[in-house]
Amino acid sequence: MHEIEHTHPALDFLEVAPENWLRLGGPIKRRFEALLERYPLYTHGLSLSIGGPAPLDETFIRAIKQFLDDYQPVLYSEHLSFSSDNAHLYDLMPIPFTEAAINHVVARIQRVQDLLGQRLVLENVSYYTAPTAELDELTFITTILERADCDLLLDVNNVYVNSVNHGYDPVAFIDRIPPERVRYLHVAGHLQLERNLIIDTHGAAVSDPVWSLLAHTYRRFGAVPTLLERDFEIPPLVELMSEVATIRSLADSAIPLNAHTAGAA
Amino acid sequence: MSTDFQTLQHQFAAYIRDPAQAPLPEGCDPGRMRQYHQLFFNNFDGVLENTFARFKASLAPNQWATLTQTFFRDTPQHSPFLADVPARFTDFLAEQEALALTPGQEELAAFELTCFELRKAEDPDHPLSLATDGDLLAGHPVVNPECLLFESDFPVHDLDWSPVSDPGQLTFLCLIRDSDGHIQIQVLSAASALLLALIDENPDASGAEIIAQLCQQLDLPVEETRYTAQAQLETWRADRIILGSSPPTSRINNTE
Repeated sequence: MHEIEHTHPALDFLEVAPENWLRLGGPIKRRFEALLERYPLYTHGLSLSIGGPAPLDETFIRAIKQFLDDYQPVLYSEHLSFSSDNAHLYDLMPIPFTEAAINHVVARIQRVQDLLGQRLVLENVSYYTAPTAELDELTFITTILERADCDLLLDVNNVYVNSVNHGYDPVAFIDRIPPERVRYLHVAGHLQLERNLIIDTHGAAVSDPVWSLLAHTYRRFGAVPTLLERDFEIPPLVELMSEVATIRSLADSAIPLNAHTAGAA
Repeated sequence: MSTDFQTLQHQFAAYIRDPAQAPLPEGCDPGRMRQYHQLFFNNFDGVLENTFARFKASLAPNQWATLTQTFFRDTPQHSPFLADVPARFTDFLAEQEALALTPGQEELAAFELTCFELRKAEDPDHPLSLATDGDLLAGHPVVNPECLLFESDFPVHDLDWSPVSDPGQLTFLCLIRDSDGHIQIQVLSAASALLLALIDENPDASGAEIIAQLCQQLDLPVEETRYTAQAQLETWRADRIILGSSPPTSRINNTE
């Protein structure tokens, strides 16, 4: 954050998790607000637990809405996952890929969209193992997008991670995503632990196969706004800006649907 | 018949909390479920380690791991905010009767939690009628809402103090969030701490009335005390512990 404040790098937007900022005060909040004078804001929530088994926490959703009203981000995104059962675990678990789960999630998305007065943009999450499924991951995701009439944050790294972890073709996966739902992209680095197990760490540079998949994604969907995510082992900003430059260069070589491409979390 | 998806979700979360006891959710790989356990636990552990660094350093080998793993496994978190987990951890510590923490260790954890909470605390409204150069005896001295008094039976602020082996010592601290968001600490005498507490407890009283009350409570000579107390108030104004004064009886109380 200090480097961004002091050098004002050429980024098209910043992304934050509302949960990490909406109850903060003091100098850090003033620094955050000063950055918003320079950069548009995208938001990416963590604790909505849209697929969770417990009732939606509407008090929390209203707090999110207040944050969105206060800061007017370009969009609010969340995860197509669950992060709590009856209590929070603050991380992402895969919703069982079943018809009953689809019905449950669709009803909850519609309720949240009503409360927020805007469409949700939900991210395909990485996962390492999942309970016995009735459907494949792609059918699960695309059915929810259509029935709930919400949008997709396509995390290209997660598609690659899951394709290795669960043995499918990531390009075919991308090719079956309906283009009209794709509002926003994420890319990040990961950690390959075994031949068929990658952990989505956000703690390394973006890998070559993910760059290739991002290039393919742009060819299919155009230059959708894209965030470079980095949460751990954060290098000097100049290294991250070099990755942002790669994002821009790949986007520029795609069909130019939109102009904006690169942000930082 | 296949298991209901919500049952699977409860099983999935239960296994992450306690892979040693919980049944494996149908269809899940045990090795990868352990990865989930480790990743989720590390997230908790990182937040707790950042908040309670000195408390952790005071523990015996493996005691921290035992505590944090038990906390992760057994304590349900009902707040959607990860930043609320440290406060739940101190509640959990207080409930651990068999733990053999020293009173000094419990106080150190409470002190570190207070610093963490003050660093991120939401901004209070400042008094509407504040005069930064106002008379601190005729008016009510307005305490900076970004500071608070921490009283302890131990010198928890002292980095050389051992919460395990050193004796107790009644300690009064004023914690102040500075303009960089860091916590500054001032050590107060018992009388100064009482003066600051009386200011906070009597939002309608003038500085002179508060000093008179201080003298009465501590059986101090009024004239001499007024001089030293006024000097203390002015020092606090220079240090931004006191922001100025408001007219007595009209101060807006902003403390939660």
